[in-house]
Parts: sequence; structure tokens; C-alpha cells
Amino acid sequence: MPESLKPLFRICSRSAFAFFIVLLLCNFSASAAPDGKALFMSNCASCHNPLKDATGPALKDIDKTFPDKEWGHKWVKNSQTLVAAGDPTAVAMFNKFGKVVMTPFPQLSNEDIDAILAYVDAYAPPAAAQAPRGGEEAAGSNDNGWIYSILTLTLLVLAVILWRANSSLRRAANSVEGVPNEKEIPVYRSKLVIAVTAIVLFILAGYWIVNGAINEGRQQNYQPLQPLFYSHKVHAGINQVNCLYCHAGAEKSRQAMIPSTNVCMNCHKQINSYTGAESYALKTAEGKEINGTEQIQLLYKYAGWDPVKKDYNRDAKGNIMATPIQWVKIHNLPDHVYFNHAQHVKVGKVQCQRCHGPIQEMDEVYQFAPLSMGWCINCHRQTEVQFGANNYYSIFEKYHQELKEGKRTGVTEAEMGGTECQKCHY
Amino acid sequence: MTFEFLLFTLNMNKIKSIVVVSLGLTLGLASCDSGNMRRTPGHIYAPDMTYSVAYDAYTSNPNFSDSLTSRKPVEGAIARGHLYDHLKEGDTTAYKTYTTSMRFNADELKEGGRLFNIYCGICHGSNLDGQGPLFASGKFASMPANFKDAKYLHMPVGQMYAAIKYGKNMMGSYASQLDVKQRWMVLAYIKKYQSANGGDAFTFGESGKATPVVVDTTKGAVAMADSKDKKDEKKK
Repeated sequence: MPESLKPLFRICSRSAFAFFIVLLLCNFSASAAPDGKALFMSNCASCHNPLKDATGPALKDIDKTFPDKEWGHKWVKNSQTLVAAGDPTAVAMFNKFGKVVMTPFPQLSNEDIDAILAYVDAYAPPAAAQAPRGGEEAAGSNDNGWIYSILTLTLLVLAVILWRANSSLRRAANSVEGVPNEKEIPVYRSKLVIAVTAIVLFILAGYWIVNGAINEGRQQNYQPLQPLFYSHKVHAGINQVNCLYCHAGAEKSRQAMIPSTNVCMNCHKQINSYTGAESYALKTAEGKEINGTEQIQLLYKYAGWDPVKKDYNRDAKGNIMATPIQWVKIHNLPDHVYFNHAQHVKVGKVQCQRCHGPIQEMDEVYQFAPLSMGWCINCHRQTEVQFGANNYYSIFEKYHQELKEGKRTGVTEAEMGGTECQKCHY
Repeated sequence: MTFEFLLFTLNMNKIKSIVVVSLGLTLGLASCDSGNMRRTPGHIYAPDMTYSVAYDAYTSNPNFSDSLTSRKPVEGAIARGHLYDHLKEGDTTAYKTYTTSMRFNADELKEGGRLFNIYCGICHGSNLDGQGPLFASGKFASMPANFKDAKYLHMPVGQMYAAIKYGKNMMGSYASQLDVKQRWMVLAYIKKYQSANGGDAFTFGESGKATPVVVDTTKGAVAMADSKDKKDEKKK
């Protein structure tokens, strides 16, 4: 090492040593002080949020509203002693939040409480996660159809022009060479063209009439306007709410159950605004923008919930003043067909999407399947049911025996009587 | 195609008028076409075979002022399977001692886990740590109960049952989604999980005695949830 660098090296090593000592000290002091975040999470978070009012008030900067530090300690340890003593701040706070008694925390020390308050004061909201934009891609793939049809049309026009040019050139060449031209029959008077057109039109009309007659009474793609814009994509897709959470009846009864407003309020007591508008904007099928927060306010009206008071509006008897939402039924089977959800979901272990399509991708639900008899029967014939480890099928001893002996690989619904008329029509 | 032939053979005036008419037609038809979307259900052949004569669930009923066919049960009626539920709302001292004589086998505990993940996991998290997707994504203001926390680890099962039945703080009532047996299956699942994580001994097993926890039946579900939670964290 050259002599000139020695002092520099010494300075560097000493400052590094000092730096480490300071770091160590900082570390010790950090571990010695109570961890405000951990304390907040285990004691306060079930009723308080740093930024939003929940069961109790938002806690960020709440200590600035306290008369003094001492008061805050007393309140957390047992708020009711302050209220009982008639402390004006305490009584005002108690009344503001619907006289809900805050759980006393005598086990928290003053330092603990200060640490919690320091944590909430310094709290900053985490950056919102960006959801992928699925809507635009879908629109893009739709647009391709237009491009193709325009291309095809242009090519056709080109072909006709070339054909005409070709024939007139040939006629010109013929007249130059003195070869007599055939008399040209206009296309619309040509017998062949008329005959072909008539046959094609006849077939098309027949197809159209028969198809129309078959589809009369079927409602595939039916997507009615609902009284409230509820997006299945936001709930079942983005937020991962299980189908059965709301449609609990799908496993228990014939009806999948349309959830009553109390089920909505399980989450919407807390979620009072649609925060995903930036990452996923709500739109009707016609492309009209929807304000999700307004729809939640509409839900509150139906559910009889007062978002300011944070409680239900009740009548004199104490009943919640809620009105049912009149959803429009989408999947309609004729009365002469019996269909049972529990039979398919619980016994047959059929996934919801099998019949309802990509529900988790739909804003407004439409009827995915034709719900025709052919469609039902097809599935009954082709689908192998979950036969093993399913108590409902234990009585089919012959099939179990054959499965065991390797004579068959699976059992379809049709083989258990699933195509008998009386299975669904009685 | 035939249309194009025609165009070519007709004179200019006719061509003009035909172009205008066809353009108008196409535009008119295109404006009617709404993709595959339809807002009306369409027509049916035989209404008397399509619509039920009897009032069906969810059909409107002119006999009642609120037009609801599904009526509330008569006051005091007890639904099937709900016979042994004597709990009264607000009786918080009774909550603490309330329990059940039901005992569950391994399949039923697994079913309890499945139900938990459907109805509870969305808030309480599939790890039972209060970090469900709705809270972890910041949509909830307050944190759902963390069942591994000391506060809930030794909570009397009756108190938890009351929370399912009547709701507690921000949690709503789950009485309309879970029947009595399902509620206890979910609770047995939670208590079993808690006993494996430092809680009281598990007493809802089939033998009815405190059984040492050997295998965690929830491993699969938990592992899946773990990876999901990690994904969520990555998104953040």
C-alpha cells in the first residue's frame, strides 16, 4: 500500500466502525421500545382503522383531539370511568359512536399506548394493487371480426373489377381481330344465376325459420337490466368471494338462493365505496359508465342502513326497515321441467361455471347456456360423475363392482337413469 | 355477391340510389344489432306450460301486500335441525357457557374447513389469522379476528357461536347462510386449528375426549391459501 493512502484508509476504517456502533445502538433502542404496529394489530385493529371510521373512530392524529396525554392513557385503560365521571370529551366521543363501549385495556402500559398512537400517526396507506385490465383485451378481439369482413369485401370487389376488366379486354381484342363477340346476357337475367340465387335464398330462409322456431322460448344471452348494478366480476372475480357465500342454497335446496340484503351487508357495512374504479371501471353492456359508490349507497337504501349513523334504521318494534331488491330472474326453465341445484352441486359435484359460464368475468350476468333439453341430455350422457367417495351413489353396487373389476372406467349420469323422461318431467 | 354483379350492370343513377338505400339499411340494421346482448327474454310458445300456476319461490304474489311469496316463518317456529339452539340474543353471560353435545368425525371436520374457507375465509383468512383477501387488500377498515391471537385462542366456543349467529361489531349474522350443524362444524374446525396453535385441548372430536392433535387435516387448504396470500403480497 502506498504511504500516501494510509491516512485515508485509517479514516475510512474508523468511520465504518463508528457507523456500525451507531447502527447497533439504534437497533437496540428500537427493540427496547414497544412495537406500536404489533400492539395495534392485536389490540385495536378489530375495531379501529388508522384512516377510516370503523366500529370506533379513525385513529390517525386522534391524540391531537385529547385534552392531554394522561387523558388518552386513561381512556384506553378504561373509557367508562371517564364517561361516568362526566368528562365532556369522553361523553362526546361515547355518544358520537353510538354508545358502543370500548373494550378496556388495563394491561397496556403508558409506553404501549404512546407507541400505538405514534404508529397510527405515522401510518400511510399502502399503494393500491393494480388489477389487470381484462375488458380492453376482450374489446380488441371483438374488433378483429370487422377487420376481416372489410378485407373480404375489398377482395371481392377487386375480384369483380378484375373479372369485368378481363372480359371487356377480351371483347376489345376480339373486335380488333374480327372475331364476333357473343351477345352478353346481363347477370340478373341469366337463368343459372336466378336459379342458384333462388335455391340459396330458399335454403337460408328455411334455416332461419326453423332455427327461429326452435329458439322461440329459449333465452340464451338474456342479460336483463337489474335494479342495482351488481358486478359478479368485482365480487366473485377480483375479490375472490366464493359463489356459495351468497348463493348458500345451491348446496341445500332447489333454488340457489338470491342473497337477501343482510348478506350484502356482511361486507358492505365496512366497504362503503368502490375503490377499484381506476384499475377496473364499471360499465353496462351498452358501455355506460357506472359509479360503484353510488350503487353501494343504493344498496344501503334497500338494506335500511344508515351509513352516517353506522346502524340500521329500525321501526318502533325494532325490525330493520329493509326492502328486498327486486332482481330480475335470468335463468328461466319452463314449469314442466324440474331442476334442482343441490342435486347438481352437492351430489353431482358440478362446478357453477359448467352451466353458468364465466360468471367471475361478467359484470352483468347473462344466460351462458341455451338451457335446452338437448343441452341437458348431452351433459347427462357425456359427463362421468364423481362416483367414488360419494355416498349418494353407494347404492349402485353393480357399477361399483364393475369399476373395481376394471370393466368400466366411469359412470355417466345417463347410466343411472339420467335420461329417463320422469327424471325431470313429472 | 349477387348484389355486386347487379351494381356493375346497372346505370349510374340506379347505382346511386341503390348505394344510398343499402347503406341506410346496413346502418339501420347495425344500430339494431347489439352484439349478442339481449335485454328482453323474448317470446314463449305456451305460457300455461312455462309459468307455474302455483306461486313459486321468488315469484311475486298478489295475495300479500309486499308481494313476497317466500314468507317469514311464524313467530316461535323452529326450523328442522335447529331444535337445540336455545341461545337468546344479547344474553352475553349465557354465551360464555353455551356449547354443544355434537361431536364430529374427520370428514365433518374437513367439511367444517371447507365451509370456513367459503363463509369465513374471505375476511378471517384461510390461515385463520385475520388476513383474508378483503382485509389484506385494504378494503376493510378494521381487522377481522385473528384466531391465533391470545385474545381469541381461549375464547369460549359459545361466544364464538353467538358471533356467528348474531354478528359482532362489524361482523354480520351468518344465521341465514349456515345452519346449526354447519356453524358447529366450522367452530370445531377453528377450535381444532387453535388447539394445534397453542389453544385449549380439542374436545369436539368423535370420541368426545380431548385428543392430541397428530395430523392437521387443513394442511392442503392452508398451503394453497399460503401461496395465494404470498401472491397478494407480491401485488402490493
